[in-house]
Amino acid sequence: MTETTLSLTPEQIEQHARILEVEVDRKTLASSAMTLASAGQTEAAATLSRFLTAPDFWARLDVLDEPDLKLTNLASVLTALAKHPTGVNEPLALALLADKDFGTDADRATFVLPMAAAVRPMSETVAALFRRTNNEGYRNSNGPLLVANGSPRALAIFVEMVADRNVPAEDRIDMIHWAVPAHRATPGVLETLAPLLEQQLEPEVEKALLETFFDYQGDDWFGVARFAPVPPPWSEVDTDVLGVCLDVGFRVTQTRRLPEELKTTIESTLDEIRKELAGRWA
Amino acid sequence: MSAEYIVLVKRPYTTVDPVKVNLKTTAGFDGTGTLTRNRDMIDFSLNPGGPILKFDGKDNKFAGANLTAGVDLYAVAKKPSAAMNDVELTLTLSGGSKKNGPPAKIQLTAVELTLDICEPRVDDTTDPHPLPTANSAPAAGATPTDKYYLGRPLPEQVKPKVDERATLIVRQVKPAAFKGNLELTADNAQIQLYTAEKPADNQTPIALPLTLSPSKIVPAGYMLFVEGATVSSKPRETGVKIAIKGVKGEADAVRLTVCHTEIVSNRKPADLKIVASVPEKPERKTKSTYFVAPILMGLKYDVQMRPYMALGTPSAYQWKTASDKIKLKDDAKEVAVCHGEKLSGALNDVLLDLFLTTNLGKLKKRHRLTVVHVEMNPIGTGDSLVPTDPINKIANPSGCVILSGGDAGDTAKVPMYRITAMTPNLAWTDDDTRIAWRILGGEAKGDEQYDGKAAFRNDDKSKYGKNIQVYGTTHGDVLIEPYSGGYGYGKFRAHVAAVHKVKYRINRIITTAQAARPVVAAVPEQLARPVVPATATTPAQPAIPHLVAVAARPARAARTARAPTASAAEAELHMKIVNIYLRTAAIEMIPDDSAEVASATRAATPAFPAVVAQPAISPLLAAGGQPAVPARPAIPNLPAEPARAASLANNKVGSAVLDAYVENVTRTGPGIFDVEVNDAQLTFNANTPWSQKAIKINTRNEIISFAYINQQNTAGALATALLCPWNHAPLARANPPRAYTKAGYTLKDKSTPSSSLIPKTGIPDDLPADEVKMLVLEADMAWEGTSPATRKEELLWGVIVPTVTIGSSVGPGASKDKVRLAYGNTLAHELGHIFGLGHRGGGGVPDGLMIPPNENLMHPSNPPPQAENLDIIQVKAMRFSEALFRNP
Repeated sequence: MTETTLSLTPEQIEQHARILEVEVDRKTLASSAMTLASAGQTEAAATLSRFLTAPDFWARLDVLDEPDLKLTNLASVLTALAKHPTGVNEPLALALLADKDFGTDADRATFVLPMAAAVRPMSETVAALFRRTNNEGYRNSNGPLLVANGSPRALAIFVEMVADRNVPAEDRIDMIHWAVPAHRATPGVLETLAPLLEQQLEPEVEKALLETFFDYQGDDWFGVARFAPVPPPWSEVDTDVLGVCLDVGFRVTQTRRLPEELKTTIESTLDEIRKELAGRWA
Repeated sequence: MSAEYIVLVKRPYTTVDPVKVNLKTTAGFDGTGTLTRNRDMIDFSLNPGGPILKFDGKDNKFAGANLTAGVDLYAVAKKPSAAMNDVELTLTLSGGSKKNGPPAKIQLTAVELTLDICEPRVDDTTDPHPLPTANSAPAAGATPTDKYYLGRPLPEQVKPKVDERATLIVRQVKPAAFKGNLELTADNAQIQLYTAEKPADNQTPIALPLTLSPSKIVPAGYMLFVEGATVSSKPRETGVKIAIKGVKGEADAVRLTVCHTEIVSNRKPADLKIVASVPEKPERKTKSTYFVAPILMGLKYDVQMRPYMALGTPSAYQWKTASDKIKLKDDAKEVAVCHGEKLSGALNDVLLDLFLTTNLGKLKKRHRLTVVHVEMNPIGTGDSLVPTDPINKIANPSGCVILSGGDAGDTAKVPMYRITAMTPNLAWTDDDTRIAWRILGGEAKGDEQYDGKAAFRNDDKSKYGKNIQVYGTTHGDVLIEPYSGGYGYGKFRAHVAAVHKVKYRINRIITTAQAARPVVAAVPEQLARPVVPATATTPAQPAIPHLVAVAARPARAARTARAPTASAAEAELHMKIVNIYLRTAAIEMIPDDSAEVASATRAATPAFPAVVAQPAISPLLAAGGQPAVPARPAIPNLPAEPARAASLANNKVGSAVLDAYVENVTRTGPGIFDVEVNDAQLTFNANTPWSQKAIKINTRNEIISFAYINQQNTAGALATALLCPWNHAPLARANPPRAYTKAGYTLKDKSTPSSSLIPKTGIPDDLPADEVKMLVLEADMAWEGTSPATRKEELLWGVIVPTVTIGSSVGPGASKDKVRLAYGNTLAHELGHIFGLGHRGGGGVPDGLMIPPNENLMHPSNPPPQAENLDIIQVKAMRFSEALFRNP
């Protein structure tokens, strides 16, 4: 089954809706659901969402009594909605998480939060959802979603989470490692560094934060993990953003008392950025 | 004197029966008779073989008495007549006492027959060159070059017939007017004559002697073709003679030697270390000490060939072919190099000619062959494995397991090796007897050596054709090749190794649902009290029900039930698939047979009865004869809780810092445990630190733990080997090991073919094989050199398995088999890391190699069935893993 991003006509959406209504063949059903979810069209997503909130649809979509297969298609559909967000994502996510029937399988919620986090900017309602679910066991997965969202509300929650001393430092460090690298050259994410450093972080958390921005050590942090986050090389970062990186890095080295080794590493990275910029200006 | 005389022209080497001419007078004669002739073409003598009569006026005068008695002359021709009867003898009488009659005359015809034999044909368009005819016997010590004294060697014809037939030419008779029949005979059965030059197995030889009318002889001559049927025991032991039918003696002859001649490989069995070989079918034999010549040769391969003659000594060589499929080098040397230049278009479409100049003359030996391209791709891919597949499902494994006894004959266990492509398409089949195999090995231990040994499964289906089965017998590398004669035409290198068994545990980490409960303070029993009416001094007091005492209970946080989505039964099936992958590396995961499980140190707690909710009671003063009632809080409904016995930590399992999380451990199957814990972070949205804890919580030293959890925090992350032990490659295990550096932990492998066919592969014409270098992983923990009886953090190794993520990674339309494959493939990949392998083809922790780009099991992201292969350098690297040293 392949994803498509082609626009669907109203007739096509209706055709898929009829399939979602009655089809019992899981493959066919999943195919139509994926088509609607991948369209990135509000009408398609809205049509799909009518079914995604219906228990009988979940039973037709997946083999609910087979633990290995109970989420296969639903997870794919929700993931597709996360990849192709529309205005439907937020109300659908909130509706699903509030639905007691949906909650009878706690594993389903895992795929709902990314769908909610895919909408930018993050609304107050969704921000509240993330704050709530942080206390329901989702903290470790919420961090990367919030940074990926990148909107001010999302990043504000991330700043709170990094600074939350109720959570062991090693857990926050791990969250930083997984959340930040892929977005370290996103201006909004770069701008969280200053407020984070004002939070009186433990030295090891502060060090991890700075390393994540300026000294990527993927092999050490992620070991053999597949799909580990990788930062964009400086050579592929916009010139303006490189300027922000330089500015942020320079301020860090000038204003904070850093371990000598870390300071040297950051300065080395800043030199690398300067060379990149010099090359572009030349 | 008779009327007509046919006199054969004698050759130096032919035996003719002289024609007798009688000179005699009709009556007594006492004069002198003089014999004269008109042409000097025929010699006459008084005795066969005697002095030749000179026509000098003396020698040719005969006394009358002799003529009266009769004089016999013996005539032998030395030149052919130009016309019939053109030699005239005249006897003229003179003197004597009687009147002499007129001169008497007779006519003779000198007939010359010529039988030529040609040198080998050089090509289809050039007529072969006849050997000269000797005018005299060679002088002592001289080297003859003619058709008789030197003669012509012929190769012994073999089936299917391909070897040359020598061209025989019966020349037109001299004089041309001669009409008598000729007769050809063979000296013996060593040769056969044919009317066709090109041999075929279904042709019938000409019956001899052959009567031939001169009228059939065209100006170019009458051609026949002679082939060697059976070998001669000495030079020039056979030949062909021509004569005039009815005339004694032979007119001409050629001599032949039938030689057992072969084109053979320039390799002797002793040149190769062959540890197992399947004879070719049909079997081809040689009288030489060399291998027979290849009839199948590889495209781009070089094979060397040389002649072998049982009789006769070659002194010059010329190799030729008209085919563009092969290219010859050193074509004028005894040993020629034949290079496979292009693919054949049909079987045996390449004809190779070898022209030999020998002490017996020149001959041509021919050989047919086929140029093929054989691919034995060592990079397996595309097997959608299921748990019921045989352990040897993946063909062309780099690791060839050592088997013995019944296992060595088991089709479902013996490794399968397969030709993955073979061109041209000549309907090659899986058990095609045209494809024979052998295994090279047994060389001295060392780099670039085939130092292992292997054998074929003892069944013809396993020994011939595109698919074979080979098992290892001695550790080391072996070369498995389809071969023909002395040369292979495909190459596959395998590393023979004993199956190394490594213990594992699967721990399914589970939390049970638990409602939140605030602290419950202990309250005493409250006896029931009726309503107390108001008095002047006290207000009315409500009735109090009987309230049971409530024991204090600690606060409890709410907990959601979380469990891996894979059951214990499924986990067992996952390991079956894992073992199919690992079989290609000669590693087998076996369940930990220990029943030791993790346990927390806890004091015993009593059972608590269920408590029905109790209302809060405000304090009441004693009144109306009723005692005072103390205040008491509201008590919610409290479930009954069973007593819990005291427990002690098990210092053989898990980690001391994790014991407190252990609620209960149940062994559900061999090596499989359900581990109930009291913190959901161990199984739900587990980050790296919690994942490491999950791996350790119920494992033992030196075995591999798989922590099946609900899910990790990282979207898309499949299983991860978070706790990998040391790998010592490329040096022998040391305790402690040397410090880790990339340069110091790089394994090198140089042999043919190269690992994963990384250029240069060593397979023609990508020669010679380059060295392949691969980096092994750095360990995740500090070194621990001992094997303590109690648990040790540094010896707890394993993999986190987020089941929701793996289950959903399969995508829409998943089936149970696809999910199982996703697990098996993922876990096998992670075990690769456990045993020291980095990622192949990029990504984090790269092993430094980029080939193959997609099919290696250690590809950082490719799913099954594409990512499947473990190559030979990986198989070797894994054997340096500390995990293997600790699981002997």
